[in-house]
Order: sequence, then structure tokens, then C-alpha cells
Amino acid sequence: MSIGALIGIFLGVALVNNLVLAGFLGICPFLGVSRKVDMAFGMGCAVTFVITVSGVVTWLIVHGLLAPIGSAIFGPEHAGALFFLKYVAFIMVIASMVQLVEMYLRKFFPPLYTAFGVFLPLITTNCAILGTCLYIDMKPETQYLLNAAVYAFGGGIGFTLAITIMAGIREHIRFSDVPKAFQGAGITLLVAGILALAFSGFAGIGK
Amino acid sequence: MADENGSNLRQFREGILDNNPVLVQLLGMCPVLAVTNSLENALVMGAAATFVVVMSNLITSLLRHLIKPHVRILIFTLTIATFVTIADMALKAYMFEVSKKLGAFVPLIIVNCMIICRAEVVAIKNGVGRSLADAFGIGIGFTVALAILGVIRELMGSGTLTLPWGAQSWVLFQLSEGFEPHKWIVMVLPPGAFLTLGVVVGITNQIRARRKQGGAA
Amino acid sequence: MAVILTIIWAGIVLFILTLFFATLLGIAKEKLRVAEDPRIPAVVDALPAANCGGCGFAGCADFAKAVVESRAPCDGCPVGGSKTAAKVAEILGVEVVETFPYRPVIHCAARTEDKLGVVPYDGVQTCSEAHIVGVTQACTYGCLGYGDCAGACTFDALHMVAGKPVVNYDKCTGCGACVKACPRNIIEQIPFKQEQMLVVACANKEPAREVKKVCRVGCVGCKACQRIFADLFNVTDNLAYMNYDKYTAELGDAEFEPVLAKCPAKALVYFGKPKPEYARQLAAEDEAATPV
Repeated sequence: MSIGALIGIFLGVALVNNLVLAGFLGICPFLGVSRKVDMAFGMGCAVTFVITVSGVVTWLIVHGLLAPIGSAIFGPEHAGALFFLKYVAFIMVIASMVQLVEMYLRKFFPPLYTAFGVFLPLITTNCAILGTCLYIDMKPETQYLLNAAVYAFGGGIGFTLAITIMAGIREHIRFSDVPKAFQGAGITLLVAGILALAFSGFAGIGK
Repeated sequence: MADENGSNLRQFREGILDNNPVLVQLLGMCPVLAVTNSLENALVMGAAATFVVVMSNLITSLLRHLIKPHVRILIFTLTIATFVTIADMALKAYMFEVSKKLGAFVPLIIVNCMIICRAEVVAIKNGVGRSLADAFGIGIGFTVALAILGVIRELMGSGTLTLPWGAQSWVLFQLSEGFEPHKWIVMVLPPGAFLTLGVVVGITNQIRARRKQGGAA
Repeated sequence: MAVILTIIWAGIVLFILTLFFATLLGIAKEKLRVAEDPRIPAVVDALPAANCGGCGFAGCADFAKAVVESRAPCDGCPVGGSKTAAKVAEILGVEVVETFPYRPVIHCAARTEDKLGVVPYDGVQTCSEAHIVGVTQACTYGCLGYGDCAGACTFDALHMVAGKPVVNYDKCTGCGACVKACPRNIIEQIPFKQEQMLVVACANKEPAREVKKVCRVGCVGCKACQRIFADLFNVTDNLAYMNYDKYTAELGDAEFEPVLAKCPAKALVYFGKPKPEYARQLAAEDEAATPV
């Protein structure tokens, strides 16, 4: 629980195991929204916010609702008896969080809402959010709430980093002579491959 | 009735070729990149996704007159989540090794855009026959695309071709020991995934453009 | 036994969760309510929902908001046309004035063979790049022919034929994407008061001898058209401009015959839906060309 461990978790998920480039999560918005840098950054910020909130709430549901009820009804060795409800619970949380965030933004930050209001419903099906919640649930280092929160936040930042870099590159590719068959998704995926190679250079940081 | 069936068959075929969810519609990319590092993983994921989309389309189509418009996305999502839970538990029970390799990507079928898309576009408006034909077409198209990528990546990256067979994998094909120094490890790592998919999508676009040209001329 | 217990408790947990989130969302709906004028969704329903941005706003919802807040005119939707304008006016309770559809015309009549001084260009084959390079053809005002406008059209209404953009006015919705795409700004939306409108298809402001060096069909600024129709044509900077406010619905072939005869360049061109006989001829040609 030291600061060092938390920084390690943060850098681990933001750089080394970047959600998009190493974890293959959030590819659809990565390909779809990364055409312009300001839109990409906006999407990244929205995703970071929703991921952090959802990560914390899903952790609370697993450790604060499902596990205790499982222990209480079926005995302490069978704490995981109700864990099959996880996926349904997670998706409910994410859908509700997105709805709440949308309403909150609309009321208190109208310019922000008009800026990326159309992305928010898309975030619900963003695998990065559900994926992060599942990883928080699966990994041993995120069994504490603070670690889980840092992990979720780091994941969001990593996503924002990847999508913004991609947008910057794509803005330049517009003026390159890409063969017709590769325009759009083809060249984006190839560039993403090179980016993934670059990010895999961070692998030594964990030590 | 014959016309209904004719168009059912076409719906089925379209899901595999013209409307392939991965190579044409570019949906559901996340599992495509993640699980195609071996043919075995690819086929199991394809089968799981097919199961989910078929059951989801079936239930949605049966209940289509009862679902109110403003809660339909929620209903779709919950239905899909239920069937994914079932699929996940079945995999953990019968194919534990593969399930571990697939990791979080089996539950991620819940947010696979193509499944919700099918429910929204086809199942809510059509009868059971049409919805099932569409679901099978899309599922098989998804599996075919995954398999193509899986074969390429596994052959180049590990020199083997494995098939799922119960609790253990069945090595269908293995290149000789002499291949060892020529293994292109990056193919089974993330960069290789992106590069392979990029090239395959490019080739698919080229084929489709040629066919369109050929048809119009 | 454990199974039944599991099922019961699963049901209870899900019920609790659903109740929690439903309550949360319900409270949020009240607390975070943003009062919206009920006319806005009504206007959104009346619009064609193409979200093309032709109105100048970010999508149909944005336009609806602007109309209700009186920031946009009722007939601001070019895709919907006068029918949509009438519906929107009805929702807002205002009078609607009859308007003409605005459609794009191209101020350049040069096909590839009419352009002089065309050099082989191997750079990025887009008009915006060729325009920056500047020397791909001699005329620095006219159409470059690489089809940025055709690429911008989402309604399949603009195609390049012999190096010149040709509008299919049956499919064109007047969204204005082509206007924005042209780097030389030679596409203009004019009110189509008739099915066929006469247009000065040239944008070259150089004097006659310079124009003749760069193009076979450019306007030379001879003022012949202005002499015949003083209020319709206005020649400034060696280029004729058509005044579409004065262009009435009575002007037709008979009236324009003398002007078309007098114009030394071939820069006066009709834009619009093909005349019935011409349309029939085109259809016959299409049928003959398609292999059986």
C-alpha cells in the first residue's frame, strides 16, 4: 500500500500494459474517434472519468455486496457463491454511471456536454470500461480499494494517451499517399501496430 | 413462404461474406486482436460468440412485441450478459485451459458491438426464422474471420496449428524444429495483432473493390 | 437445496441492485433536470434526420435548438426543403414564406481538353494539394478536376465527368459539403427559381489575352452579356457575374438566345435537371450501353 506500489500500479496500466496497445481494449473508439486531436482528447477524458467511477463502484459491489452476502448465507468458504452475478451487475453499473455522467454534465457543464455529449452513450459499450472492471476483479494487486481506484484511473489515462497520440498521427497521415484499400481502418491498424511495438519498450519499467 | 426462406438464406450468407462483422463492418475488434494468437483460442471464442448472438437474437425476437422502445438497449444488454455468464461458466467447466487463455475476453462478449447491433437491427423487427438465420450468419462470419487471423498469426508466430479438443488442445500441425530460429514471435504479441489485422483488412478492401469494379463493368 | 437458495438470493441481490440504480437515476432525473422547450423535440422529429450539417449547425438536434431560440430561420434545412420549412413553421406558429431550393453550381466550364498548360502532376491527387502546389494547370482560378467536391458529397450527387464536376440535381440535397470542399471556392449555391438556371461558368478575373492563354472556354470580360441584359449581368474585374435576385422565372431559352449567341467564350452554361427530351436521350443511351 506504499506510494511506490501505487505508482507502480499506475505506470503499469498506463504505459507497460496500456489498455489499448497491449490489452486490446477500447479498439472501436480508438479506430473511430481518433481522427482529430481535440475530439480524441475529449473522448479520453470522458472515458477516464467513467472508468474511475465504474471501477470503484464495481469493486464496492463485489467486495461490499456479493462477497458478504455469499459468506452470510452460504458460509465463509463459499463467499463466491453469488459471483456469477458479477457480469450482470457490472454492466448495470456501467450503464447507470454513463447515464448519470451524461445528466450531470448536461446540467452543470453544458459546454462540455455539447463537446462530447454524443460520445457518452457510446462509452457504455466501450470494452475498456468493462475490461478494467474485470481486471480489477481478477488481479491480486487490486484487492484494496485505493489500488483499484489508482488502477482504474491509470487505465483511463493510458487510454487517453494512446488515443491522442493516434489522433496526432492520423492528422498527418491525411496528407500521405495511402493506397486506396488501406485508407481508413487499414493504415490505422498498421500504425497502431508500430505504436504497440514502441510501447512494449516500456516493459522494463515495472522492475 | 419461399420468398421468406430465400431472403433468410441471403441474410445468412450476407453475415459471412458481404456483411462480415469483422472485416467489413469493422465491429468487435477487441476480441479479434486479443484471441487470435492461436487457432484454438480463435475457434473457441468464435463458438462462444455465436452461441451468445444466436440465443440473444432468439429471445429478443420472441419478446419483440413486449419490449418498450426506451428500455430496449438495457434489455438487450441484460439478456446478452446472462448468456455470456452461461457461456463463461461452461467454458470454465469443460475447457479450463482455453478459458484461462481467453481471460477477460469471454465476458467482454457482452459489450461486443456486433451482438447488440444484430438485436437492434434485425431481431427486434423480424420473426424467429429471420433472426436465427442472421445470427448464425454473423456468428459464422465472425468465426471465419477469427480463424483466418488465427491461422496466420499462429503459423508465423509459433509454427503450430492447434485445435480445441476437450480439456487439452490438439496440435494439428507443427512445423519442424528447424523452424525454431525463424519463429516470428512478434506475431503472437500485440504489435503483430495490429499489423496482421491491418493487412487483412486492406486485402479485404482490395478484393471488395475489385469485385465491385468487375460487377459494374 | 443450495441451488434453490442460490436462485433466491441471486434474485434478491439483483432486485436490490436494480432498486438502487433505479432510485439513483430517478433522483438524478429530478435533481439534474434541464428544462427543455417541448418544441425542440417536435422540431427534431420534423427534420429529415440526415445530420449532414448543411444548415450550418452541428446536426439536426442543434439546428432544432437554434430554430426554437430564433437563431436560425425556419427554412434553414436545405435537405428538407420547403416541406420541412412548412412543418417547422407550423410548430413554431410562424408564417412561412415560399422559398426556392438552393443548389450548387460550378463556376468553371473547362473540361480537361479545354484547359491549357496542364502539367503532369504526381503529387497527392487532391484539389487541396494541387491548389497549394499551384502550377498543375495554367488557370489559377478554375477547377482542378481531382474531385474533392465529389468525394465530399454524401448523397452520391456529384461526379467528375471529363475532368469537370457534374451535379445530379435529382439526388442533390443542397447540403453544401461540395461548396466547403472546393479549395478554389468556385462552387456556389444559387436559388433555383427554375429547373434550369443560366450560370457564368468561369471564375477567371484576368484580362482577355491572359484568359485565352490558359483556357479555351473562359470568360474574357467583353461585356456583351451586360449590354443585352444590363440588370442581370454585371462585369467587374474582367469577369461576368449573374445577379440571381433579378433572375425571374420568366427568363427562358427564348430570352437568353441572343446572349448565348453573342458570348465569344463558351462560358454561359445551363445548370439544372436535364430537359425532358435530353433526359429521354440520356436514358436511351444508358440502355444501349448496358450489356444484356
